[in-house]
Amino acid sequence: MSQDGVDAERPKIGDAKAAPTKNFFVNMLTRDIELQDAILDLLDNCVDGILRSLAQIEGETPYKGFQASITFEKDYFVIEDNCGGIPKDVAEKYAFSMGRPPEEDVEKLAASATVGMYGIGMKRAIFKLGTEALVESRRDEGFTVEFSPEWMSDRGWNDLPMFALADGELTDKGTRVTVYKLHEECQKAFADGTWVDTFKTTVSRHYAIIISKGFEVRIGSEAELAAGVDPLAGAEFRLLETDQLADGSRIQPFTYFGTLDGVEVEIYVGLYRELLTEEEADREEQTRGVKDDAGWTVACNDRVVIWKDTTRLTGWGEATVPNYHGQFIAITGLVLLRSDDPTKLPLTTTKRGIDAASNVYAEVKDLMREATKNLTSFTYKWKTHERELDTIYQNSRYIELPTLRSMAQEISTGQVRKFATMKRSEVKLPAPANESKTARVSFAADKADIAALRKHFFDDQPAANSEIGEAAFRDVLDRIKK
Amino acid sequence: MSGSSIPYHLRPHKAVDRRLFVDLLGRCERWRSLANAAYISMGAYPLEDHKLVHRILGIRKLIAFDYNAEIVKRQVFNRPIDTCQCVCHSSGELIDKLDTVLSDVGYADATNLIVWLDYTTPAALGEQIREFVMLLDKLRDGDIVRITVNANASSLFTAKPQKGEPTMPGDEVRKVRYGKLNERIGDYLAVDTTADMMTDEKLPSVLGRAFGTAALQALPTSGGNTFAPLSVVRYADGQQMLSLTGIVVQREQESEMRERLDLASWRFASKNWGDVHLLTVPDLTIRERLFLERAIGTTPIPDMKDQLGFDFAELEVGETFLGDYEHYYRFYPNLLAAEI
Repeated sequence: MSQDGVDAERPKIGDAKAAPTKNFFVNMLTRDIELQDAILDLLDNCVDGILRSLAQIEGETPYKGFQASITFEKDYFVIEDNCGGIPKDVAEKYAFSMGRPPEEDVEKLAASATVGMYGIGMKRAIFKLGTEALVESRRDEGFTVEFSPEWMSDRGWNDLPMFALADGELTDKGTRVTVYKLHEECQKAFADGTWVDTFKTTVSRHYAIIISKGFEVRIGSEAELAAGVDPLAGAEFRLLETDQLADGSRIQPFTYFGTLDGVEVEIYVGLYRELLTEEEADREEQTRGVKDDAGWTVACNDRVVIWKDTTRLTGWGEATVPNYHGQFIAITGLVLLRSDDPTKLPLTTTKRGIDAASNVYAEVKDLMREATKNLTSFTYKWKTHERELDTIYQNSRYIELPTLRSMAQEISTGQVRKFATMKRSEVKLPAPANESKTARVSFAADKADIAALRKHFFDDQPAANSEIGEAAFRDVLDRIKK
Repeated sequence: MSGSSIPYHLRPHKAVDRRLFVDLLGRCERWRSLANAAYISMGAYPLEDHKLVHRILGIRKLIAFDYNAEIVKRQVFNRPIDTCQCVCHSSGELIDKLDTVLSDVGYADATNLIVWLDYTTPAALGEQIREFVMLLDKLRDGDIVRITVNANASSLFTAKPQKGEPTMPGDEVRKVRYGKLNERIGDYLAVDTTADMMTDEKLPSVLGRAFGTAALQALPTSGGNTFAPLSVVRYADGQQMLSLTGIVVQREQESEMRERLDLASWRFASKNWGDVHLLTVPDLTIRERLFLERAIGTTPIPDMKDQLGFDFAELEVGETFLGDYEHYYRFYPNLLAAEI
C-alpha cells in the first residue's frame, strides 16, 4: 500500500463517514441512564470539584463547607455548588468535549480519588434533561457556556460559545448548571412530589459517606430553597457488637482491610439487628413485614454505587452462599474501594452497579462471599436454638461506620491466605451448645388443637406456637422416660 | 460425608487411586516444593492418605477433619504423627473458615495447600460442586485440589423392576436421570449435555466438564490464576467414583507447568476436565501378579495373553487392563489375611 493509503490495484472510490453523529449522543446515550443517575452525575462533578480544589484530604470531615443545591421546577432545573469551579482553560479544552482527555493531559487536571472517569457525565445529564442549557463557572476567570436548541439539533459539532461571567456571580468559586426547555419526562418528574422525595432518598443513600464527611446537599423547589431547607442527612451504616461470652465468642463485625491491585479495600459486614425468630422468618417469607436493611453496599471513592444488594452481583446465591431470603434479614455489609486512579475502580459509566469484568471486584467478592457464608451459617445454626438466643445478645450495642473504620486496621490482624496484602479480623461467633446432637422438629397442626394445647400448658399466658409444640414434646418425653 | 461403610481393604481401586494421587503429587514437586505444604483431607478413621503423604512426600503439616466428633477422636488416636491435627468440621464449614482453621492449628504459614475433598453422597452433588467453587475462591498459585464424587449413573435414578420385569425403557430412565442431574448442577452443565449421556461410561465426563465450568466461575479469565486439570480418573469398588485433581496456576504459566510435570508421559494425566481415564484394578492372584510384573516392560501384550493362556478382556476386567497395569502395578495393594 502506498503512503497515502491508495493501492494501485484497489483504487479508492470515496470515504465512508465514521464520525459519531450528534444525534447518537443526544438521543441514544441518554437512553442508557435513568434521570436520577444523570442528575447524580452532576452531583459527582461537584464532589470531584472539591477533590481538585483541596490540596489534601484530611480529617473526618474534609468536605465541610462545601455544598450543592438542586432546584427542581416544572420548567427548569438548576444545580449550583461552591466546590471550586472549572478553570477557564480546562473549560476551553476538555470540559465540554466528549470523553476523558488523553492520558498526558489527565495529570494536568490532577485530582485524586475522583469518580469521574469517562468525561461524559455533564454533557449526558444536560442532554437527558432538556434542549437549552447554561453552564456558568468561576475558578480563575468566570465564564458562561451556552447550549442552544439549535446546537442540539444541528448535525455538526461546532464549538460552544463562551462568554464572560458577570462580576457578582459565583463569587465563592463554584459552578451552576441551568437547564431550560426540559424534556417531558423531566417536567413530569420535577412536578411530582413523590419523585422528588425518592430522589432525595437516592441521594441520601448514594452520598451517605460523602455527606458524613461534611458535604451538604439541599434539594427543593426555588421557593423551598429560598425559605431555607435543611441539608439531606446521609443514610447510616452500623453493625451490632456484643460482649464476649465465656467461651470467647461474641457477635462482632467481620472486617477486611488492605489493598488489592492498587485499590484500597475495606469491608465491614455483620448483623444490623437481632436475628429473626423462626416464626418471624416464616412470616417474612410470605409477606415483607419488617424494614429490610439487609444486603451489600459498595462504594467507590466514597460514592455508593450499589445499595443494599441481595443478588448474585454481591455474591448471594453464588458458590455455597445461599440465595437471599427472609431468614437473612439481619445481615448487612459495606465495601469501600478507594484509588487515586479511578480507572482502577470497577465503576460503570452510570455509576449504578459494578463493572462485572473487573478483577479487583472479583477478588473482593471472594471475601464478601466468605463473610456472607459465615453469617448465613451462624443464622442457620441459631434457627434451631431460638430459646438460647437471648443469651448471646449480652450488652449489645451498635458501632457506627466512623468507629468501625477507625478500628479496622487495629482489629484486622488475621491473615488472608490468598491475598498477602489483605488482613481480616478474627471473628468467633457464638455457636449453640450441643449443636450436632440436636435436630429440628417442625410440623403443621390444626389451629384449634394448638389453642387447646396452649390452654393446657400455658392457660391464658401468651405463648408462641413453637413453645406450645416444645411443651407438648417435652411432656410426652418426660412421661415415656419415667 | 467421609468414610464409606466398606472397609478399606475391600477397596483396591480406591487404594490404587490414592497411590496414583501421591505419585502425581510427587510430580507436582517438580513445579513447587511441597515440603512446607499443608495437607487437608477427611481421611476417615484410618487416615490412610495422611500416612502416605507423610511417608512418601515428607509432609508434616497434616489436617484431618470430620463432622462427627467421635470420628475425630478416633482420628486423633490413629494419627500418623503428632503434627497431624484433627478438627471437627463438615467440609462446608472447613472451607468457609479455611483461613481461621489454618491459623488455629498453627499452619497459616504453609506455603501451599493440598486439599482432598472425598465426597460420597450422590444426592449432595449440588453442595459438593459449590463447596469446590468456594474452596477455589480461597486458594492461591500452587495449591492443589482433588475432589472425589459419586459418578454412578444409577445413583441419579434407577427404575425398580417388578417381578423381574423392567418397568421403564432405558431412554426414559436416562431422561429422569438427566432431570435429576440438572436439578442439582444445572448451572454448571455444558449446553451439549443430553439424556443419552446419563450412563456409567459417559456421566463421568459430563461431571468432569461441570467441575471445569465451576472452576472457571471461581477463577474467571479476568483474573491471573486458573485451575488447571492434572488428572481425571473413574473407578468402581461397587459404586463408580470420579476423582478430579487440579492445580491453581497462573494462566500464562500453565503450559510451562504441564511440561515441567511431564504430564505427557503420565498415563492418567488429563489435558481437559472431560478427559476421563478408566482405572480397572482386578482381583489378581499372587501367581498372576508375579507373572505380570516379570513380563511388564519386556513382553508385548499379545505374548502375555498367550503365556497366561486366558484373556482378562474376556473376564469383564476391561480391554485396557493389561495396558494400564503397567502404569500402576507399583501401587497394586497386596492384601493378605493375617492372624494378629
